[in-house]
Amino acid sequence: MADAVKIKINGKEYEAEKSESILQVARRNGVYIPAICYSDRFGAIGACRICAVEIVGMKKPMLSCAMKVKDGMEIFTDSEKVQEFRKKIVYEWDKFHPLQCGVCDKSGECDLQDINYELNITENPSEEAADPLTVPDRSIHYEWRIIHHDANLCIQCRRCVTICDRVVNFGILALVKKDWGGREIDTKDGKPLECEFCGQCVSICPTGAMSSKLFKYKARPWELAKVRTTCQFCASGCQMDLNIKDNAILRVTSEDNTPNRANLCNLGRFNYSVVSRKNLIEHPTSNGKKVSLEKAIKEAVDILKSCKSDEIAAISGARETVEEQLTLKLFVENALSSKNLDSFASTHIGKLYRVLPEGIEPFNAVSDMEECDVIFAFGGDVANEMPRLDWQITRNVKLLKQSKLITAYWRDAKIDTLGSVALRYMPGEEVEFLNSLFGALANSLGVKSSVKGSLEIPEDGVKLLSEAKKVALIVGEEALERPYGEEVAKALANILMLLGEKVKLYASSKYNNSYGVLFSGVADGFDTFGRRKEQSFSLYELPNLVKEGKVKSVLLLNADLFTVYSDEDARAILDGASVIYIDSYLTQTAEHARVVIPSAPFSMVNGHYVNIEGRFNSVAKALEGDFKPASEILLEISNQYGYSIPTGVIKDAISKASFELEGVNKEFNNVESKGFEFGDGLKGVLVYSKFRSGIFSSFGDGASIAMNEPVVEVNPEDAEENGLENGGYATVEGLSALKLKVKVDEKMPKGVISVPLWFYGYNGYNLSGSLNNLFSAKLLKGE
Amino acid sequence: MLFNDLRKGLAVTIKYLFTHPVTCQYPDERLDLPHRARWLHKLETYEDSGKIKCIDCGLCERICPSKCIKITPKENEDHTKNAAEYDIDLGRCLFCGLCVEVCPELALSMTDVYELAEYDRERFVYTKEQLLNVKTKKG
Repeated sequence: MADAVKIKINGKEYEAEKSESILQVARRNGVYIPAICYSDRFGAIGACRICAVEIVGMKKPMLSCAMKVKDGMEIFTDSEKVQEFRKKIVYEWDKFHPLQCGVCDKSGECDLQDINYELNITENPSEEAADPLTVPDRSIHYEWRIIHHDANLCIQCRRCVTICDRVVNFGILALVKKDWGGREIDTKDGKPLECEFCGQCVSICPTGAMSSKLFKYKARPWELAKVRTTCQFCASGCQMDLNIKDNAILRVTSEDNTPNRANLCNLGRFNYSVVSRKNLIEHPTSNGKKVSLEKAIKEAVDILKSCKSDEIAAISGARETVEEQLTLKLFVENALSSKNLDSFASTHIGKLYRVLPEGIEPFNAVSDMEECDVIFAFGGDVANEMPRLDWQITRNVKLLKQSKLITAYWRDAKIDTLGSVALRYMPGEEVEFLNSLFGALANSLGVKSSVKGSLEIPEDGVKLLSEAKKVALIVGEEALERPYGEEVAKALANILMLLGEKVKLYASSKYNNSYGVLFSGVADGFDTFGRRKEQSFSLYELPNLVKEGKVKSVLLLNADLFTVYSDEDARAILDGASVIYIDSYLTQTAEHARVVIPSAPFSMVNGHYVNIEGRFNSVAKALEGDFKPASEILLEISNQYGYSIPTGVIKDAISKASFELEGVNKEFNNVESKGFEFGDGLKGVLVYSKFRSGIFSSFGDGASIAMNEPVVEVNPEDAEENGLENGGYATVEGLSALKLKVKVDEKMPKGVISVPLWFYGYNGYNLSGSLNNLFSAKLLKGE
Repeated sequence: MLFNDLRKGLAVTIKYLFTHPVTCQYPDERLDLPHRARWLHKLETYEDSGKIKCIDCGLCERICPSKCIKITPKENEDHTKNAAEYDIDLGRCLFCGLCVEVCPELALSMTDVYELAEYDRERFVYTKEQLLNVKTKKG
């Protein structure tokens, strides 16, 4: 270590690196220095000054969070001089701080309480000397929907401002000058807060100034039992703690030492109420009538027995645990001897991983993105599809300033505000774009290939990509879900092969266990451990197979048909086949399926989810309930069917917990330049909303308060042409029509509109048809 | 002397016939309790508004050694916090008075009501209404 230095803290010698701050070295070695504004999530701010330490040879105490270590430095963290300095700061904070710890939700885990206790502050000369009439009239924001802000409790450490700007990259909060003469945290424009409602500000606030409305006055922090589990809303696999009291989840928190650095999005942090009783299927039903569990299972067995094995299809929703998926796999393949098994993961990542080139690492740790000097985000709005990836990109580009960003999408999205090389194409041109990029890149790298496209690719993007040492390739779910998604995957595989070993692949997925589906071999074209096998059945064919009478019974495991099919196709399956539906949430499929068996939802079941990194994250049972896990239900069905599933095999597979998924493609694919034929009207695109992940997420408070209805996003010119106003309503016509609220957005390209998916009661696939996210659209004002 | 023992005994008896009795004739009469006697809890209200003083800070719940207090909070329309429910299970309570001592709002006190026997264990759980309407002996 050339940069190694030796420093003395409180008389003891420690080794350190030159780039480290005093605070970092102290914390690493277990020496306590109080710090309020510093956080490992974004680094030093230098606002609170409480982390000041005495350095021999310097007159004033210096801030340990900002001060880099130097060789031979001698530091005292707790001298009398430092204590006095800290006390004076805390006096200022305490001045006029309301003594309402009795009702403050932060009380018990408040940094201000802790520092007062630690410095043994029992009186405050600063407040005693002050004129009581000068108590400032600070504001309390009751109107910020999910976030509650009480400026009276704020000590202006600027943590929320920093996290909103440098971690979330939203930057709506600021210290704003107010009428009473001082500054307060408020939105930059002074309007009520309209943001991602991720609650990062709540999680980082050292006092009770920023708090969650959903948790307000619900419980005291010390009453809550914390259960570590994995988020159920996307494949990021964020680790979080369910805070339990009286068999109910009252809030969700996370810790700094988690892989996601305590960062959680709106869904993870606030949407925990989806598992409340009113959203769950209460009892088993058969033909719409309430029956006992035994009877429902018997009925399911009878249906399955009455069909030939190739007349049965099974679909997994990619949201259940790996254990449940493996049980389904064994049941369908061994008991039913049916090959008709597929999963919702086949709509996106399944396509890509089937054509993965040889030698490409299939899964990469998200934090390893920091090794990449170029990030290339293609095909989707990462911020909406997977906030964790968005925040990692933000960390690389904005906080650590060590990566360049290239985005390829049909519109400017949130990550472009980081400053990017923006490559743009129109919706429907994905394959053409990728081929063109491949051509340009191959040319610049000196690789010979016949693959070429007709689009012009800006040179700076090609140059960055070809000169990069490590590239993080982020693949959006949206591009893979195009009707020609397989071609997109092949074109992507070509680029992966071209970049070879220097590429790190991240394919986003809204389904929390879509990677588990690859492991358990439930997705078409995959066997257990992610091994490859022949494709045999695709959920793309299901509606037709049911209509033709080739499939007579469908077994659905957590697979709400309305999340991928249009109402018409979903109803055709539900009416045309005997559907056995095992799920927890009261979805539309549960209302119409022939046999409905409720299974234990997230937080009432133990198991594992596999995330984008290929990691097995455990899911823990936190709540008591009288629900059986889906794996037990499947075991019972299988037993009655006459096959006992070897549970040991499942346990062995889980304990092995490693993929045998390897790329097979050795040569560049010849990709047909497929696209989508739009009609004369506007180009309609179905996109993902960051406030929804699966239709069931609509049931939770966090998602529904943040965004209660879908909005169609329109370019200002298109809006004017069609006589639409921001906030008004419009009828969007595709294959059928939806009446949606209008949001006029300058960032939308002209001639393109976007409709978000998965809002309960608004099925976007009605516009585009099942398993498709493009449609030619018309906009009509109002009715 | 003849019947000496009997005479001695009767002397004591006759003597006590003319002295004041030391036992309390419960339930016809009751003892005076010490000033700081700790019996049934009472939830205090503000004299002017009649509102409950308890803000559900949870300290009594936390400090209770026998874990017999359970409070459910509520948010009022003016965004203040009060106890919506306040249950004390006297079947577990050991009348140590820590809950009263810890209360920052002086919302809880202990009264001189000590006749708390019940035929049923469930009736030992005193609700908020019962605790608000405790009638003390002293009035």
